[in-house]
Amino acid sequence: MNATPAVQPAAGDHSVPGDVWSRDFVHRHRKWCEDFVLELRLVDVPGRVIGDRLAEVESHCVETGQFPEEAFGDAAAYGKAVVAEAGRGSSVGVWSTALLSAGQVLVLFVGSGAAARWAHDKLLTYNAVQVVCLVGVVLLVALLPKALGAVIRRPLVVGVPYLSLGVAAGVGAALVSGLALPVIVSLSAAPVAVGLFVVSVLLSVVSYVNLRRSEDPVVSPLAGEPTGDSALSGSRTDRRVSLYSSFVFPVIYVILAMMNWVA
Amino acid sequence: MSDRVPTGEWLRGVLETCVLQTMTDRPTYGYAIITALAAAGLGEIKGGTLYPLLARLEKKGLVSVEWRAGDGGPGRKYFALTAAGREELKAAREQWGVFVTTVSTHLAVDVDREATQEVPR
Repeated sequence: MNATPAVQPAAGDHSVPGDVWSRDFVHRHRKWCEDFVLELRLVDVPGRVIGDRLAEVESHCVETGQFPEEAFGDAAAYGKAVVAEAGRGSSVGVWSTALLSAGQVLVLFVGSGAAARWAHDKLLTYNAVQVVCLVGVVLLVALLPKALGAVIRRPLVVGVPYLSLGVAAGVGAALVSGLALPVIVSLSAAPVAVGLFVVSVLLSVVSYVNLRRSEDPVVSPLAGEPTGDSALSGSRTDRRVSLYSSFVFPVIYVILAMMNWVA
Repeated sequence: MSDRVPTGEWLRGVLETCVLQTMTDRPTYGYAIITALAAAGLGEIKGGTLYPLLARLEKKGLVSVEWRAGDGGPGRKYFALTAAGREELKAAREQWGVFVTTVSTHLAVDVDREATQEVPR
């Protein structure tokens, strides 16, 4: 017996704890399990703790023949009860990812605009309304961790307006460029376009390292179902997802810059 | 016992103690604890109530935990009393005894008063 709170694989099992999503129980009660995991993920409860609590649910339901809804009630409400006992995790990883993404969005907007100006041999200029719109977009992305719970739980009431606000600010920044407003920022377009592309690549590298370092899969302490192969394949998939999501910004940057150049 | 008696509310105050009591002989697991409490006449405790309570006991260091392979099942999480848990249970038993005596004395006084007031003419 452990004197300290710990999660151990079941006795006799020497395999690495497996990804909960490959468990048959989780497949059969996917909706309940997803809602439960989401509630704990939103407050950064560590993956191992989530896996442990989900294993309690699985073990109990298999033993009693009950559905999770019968034995544990609403998944989100039970998740909140578990959070009250398990405590919240560190949210440093989520916030650093949000800030990096906000930086990428800013670089994307300014850099692609600079490419268009460079193509026409003009200065990159911003008026006050454009600056406010850009700051608005960046803030909406940077504050996403704060709003994420409401955005996911109430997509129509919160999610769509949140996204619309971001799009409106972005489109607004582009539209007001044609208005005869006083210019408050004026820069040479070529070095900005090239320099910000380099910044975008650097932010992607930092983002990739950050994502790999903060990877925290939800693993089950229960033995049996997940094989080493599935764990390995899950790890490869995670790495690919981190790579694509990190380097998507420089790719979009190049595409937008090329479109602006030829337009 | 009358249906109006709020046993659920009474139990809430002593459920931790009752759960600790189920572990006195040997380490046990969630479903066995629910069965033991039901057999003791305390009603059926839902998993959604029991497991957060067990997590609280674990956090306080009153129980230790261990996952073990189940008989044909996916595995069971066993809970065992720690030394601090045994001390807590002992103290809770004594406090409960004092509480029951106090409440019983109080309720008996009320019954005596009612008996004297309802003397037939």
